[in-house]
Amino acid sequence: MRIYFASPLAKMIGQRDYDITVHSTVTVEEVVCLLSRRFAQTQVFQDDYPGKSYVPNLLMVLKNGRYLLKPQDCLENHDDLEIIPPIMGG
Amino acid sequence: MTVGGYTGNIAYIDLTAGHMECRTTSEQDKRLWLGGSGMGAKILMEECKIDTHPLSPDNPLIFMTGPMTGTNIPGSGRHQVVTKSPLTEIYGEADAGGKWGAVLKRAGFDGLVFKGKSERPAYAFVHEKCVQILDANFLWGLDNYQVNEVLQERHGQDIAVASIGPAGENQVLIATILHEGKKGRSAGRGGLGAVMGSKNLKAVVVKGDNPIAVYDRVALQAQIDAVTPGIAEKTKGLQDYGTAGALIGSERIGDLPVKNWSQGTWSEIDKISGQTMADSIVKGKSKCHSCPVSCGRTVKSESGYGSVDGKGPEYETLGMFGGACMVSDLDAIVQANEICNRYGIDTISSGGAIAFLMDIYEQGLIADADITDVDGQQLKPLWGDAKAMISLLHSIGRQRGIGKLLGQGVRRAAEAIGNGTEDYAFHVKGLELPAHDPRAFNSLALGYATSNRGACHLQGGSYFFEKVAILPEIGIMEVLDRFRADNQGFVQACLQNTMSVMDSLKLCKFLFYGGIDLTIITGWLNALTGFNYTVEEVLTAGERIFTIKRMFNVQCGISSLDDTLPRRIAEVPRPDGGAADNLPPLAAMLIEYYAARGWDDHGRPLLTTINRLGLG
Repeated sequence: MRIYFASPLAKMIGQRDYDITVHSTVTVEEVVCLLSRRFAQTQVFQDDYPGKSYVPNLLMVLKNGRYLLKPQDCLENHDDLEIIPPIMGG
Repeated sequence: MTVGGYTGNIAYIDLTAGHMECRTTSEQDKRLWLGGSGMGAKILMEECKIDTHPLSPDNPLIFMTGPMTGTNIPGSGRHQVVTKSPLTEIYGEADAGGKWGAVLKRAGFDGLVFKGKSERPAYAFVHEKCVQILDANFLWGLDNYQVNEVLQERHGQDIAVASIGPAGENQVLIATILHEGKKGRSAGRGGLGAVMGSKNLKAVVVKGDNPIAVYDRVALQAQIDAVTPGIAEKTKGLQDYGTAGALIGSERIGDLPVKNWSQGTWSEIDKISGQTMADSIVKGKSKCHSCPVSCGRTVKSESGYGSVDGKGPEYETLGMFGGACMVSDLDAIVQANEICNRYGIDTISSGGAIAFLMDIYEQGLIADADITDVDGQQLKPLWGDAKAMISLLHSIGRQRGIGKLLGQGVRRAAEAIGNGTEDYAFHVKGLELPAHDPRAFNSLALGYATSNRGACHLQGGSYFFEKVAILPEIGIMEVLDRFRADNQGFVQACLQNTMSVMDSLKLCKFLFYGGIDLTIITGWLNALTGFNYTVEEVLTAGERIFTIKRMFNVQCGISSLDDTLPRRIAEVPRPDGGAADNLPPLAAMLIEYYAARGWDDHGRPLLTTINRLGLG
């Protein structure tokens, strides 16, 4: 599974993409948790309010260039993800 | 009971007679209409005859605060301007942030209603529950930044100024009302600056420091303190990069208008993003009254286009001048933003108009000789040509050359040019599309088609809830699927009612990004006013407010035939990007929407709906 980081996440992390291999179906939440352990810099985007999802609802995760995902959506190893930081406007 | 949050006073100013009358707002009207957009819509319905031309003296120009304006509630530094729009010739409104509304209320008024026309250029000075009409000959012809400086020299630094620039004086139909000079707080949409210009009203100066009544200050403060840290934490991206920080994500998901809405991706986006701004030209942040976010940016830019030391461009400005016109030179867009602020021109509509011209020029649908600049020199408006873009903005502001046509908006420009150019004019009901593509969010398509002021992303704000936000009180428990077709009508109606509440209380809609919901807002409202609203009653007020605007529009001749999208948005998918191939199912969504609203098949509110909302 190739994971792309949109700016400014790529700049914070120091790389534009990252590959992981999953052997079964995983959720978006699990992938983001894995990334946050691998890249400590991403923790600034986490929402750890009690009772709320670990994955911030302000983080956009785009699958295969098209689908905006929710934390419990499932992913396969062949999916491409793009992690878009929680920046909104307009 | 003294109702907190309001002064209870609205000034009606007859500019023809030079007379001011102060009217008291009843407790019932406060409860039913909230303030801001709601009160403005009610007054417009009362004061504006249906055949009134928007640029005639009879068209009222209404500045309204909401009960929360100027309090210490987060995001309460906003006010509304309401009138019959000269651009669309239907209901028109725009809101602005900053401190102008807060100072107006502290000067003793909830709102100002200007009617008539001053014989000579004039400005209003509002202070201590009094409105003076003063000579403005010395201000006429000055740009918005100059007006602010001159008036601050005359009345002191503690004033706040709403003004028009040369575009408003020239009654350009996409002219804005700018607030606070270089701080660049614009009531941008619908040509409200032209209405102000038609009244020979150059500026409205407010000055005041009276306290705002609060029903239960302790309870209100406790409620505010409980949520403010969360707002700040959840909006960190906005704080760090401003609204411009959304550009990259917008381009990735197919939301950005690229090449006049014909492409789904743009490889140059990084050059003008909020991140690039932060790394190059940003020198500070700016914020409205009582805001924990600070999404504004001040910039310093020196380039061949000129120097700018002040307000930086927002997402919409970058999206339209950048994506839609394909200008990837950040300094040029900063300069374009400055020019628009000084003249008082809407960056969305002017960006849309310039993209329209670039498109029809490429298609060979307009004669080269017809495209001239302020000096009568011929222009070649190629995609991405920053110099041409800036030249065109001057021509719009001064109403010379091709700018005379572009300043009327794309609908009128296409009608005048003919030759099939209507297909390249992206508007709904005459208002140019903002920088969000409705093919990227089906709900946005329905929102654009049914918004009361024409194409508007904020009257429903539905895309917030298909990207990142939730709103449990209306059943949005998780982020919605942006390509879904079902249940769009009901959700859109609920969100439009919600946003009508925000526009009337005068709260910033970015609060939804900060985790604020309607239960929290209703708690604030009750502690502030002393009323005992329920969430349901607040939402009914929102429905009432949205519906009266529709009733105004129906009287103006609007029907279901006008609840539509530009053909190339409705029928032509884009070839690439995060929303490639998607076309919103507008017809089906509209049927469901009218049913959810209690409107008939022609888009007219049913009598039962009108009576239920007390609008009969």
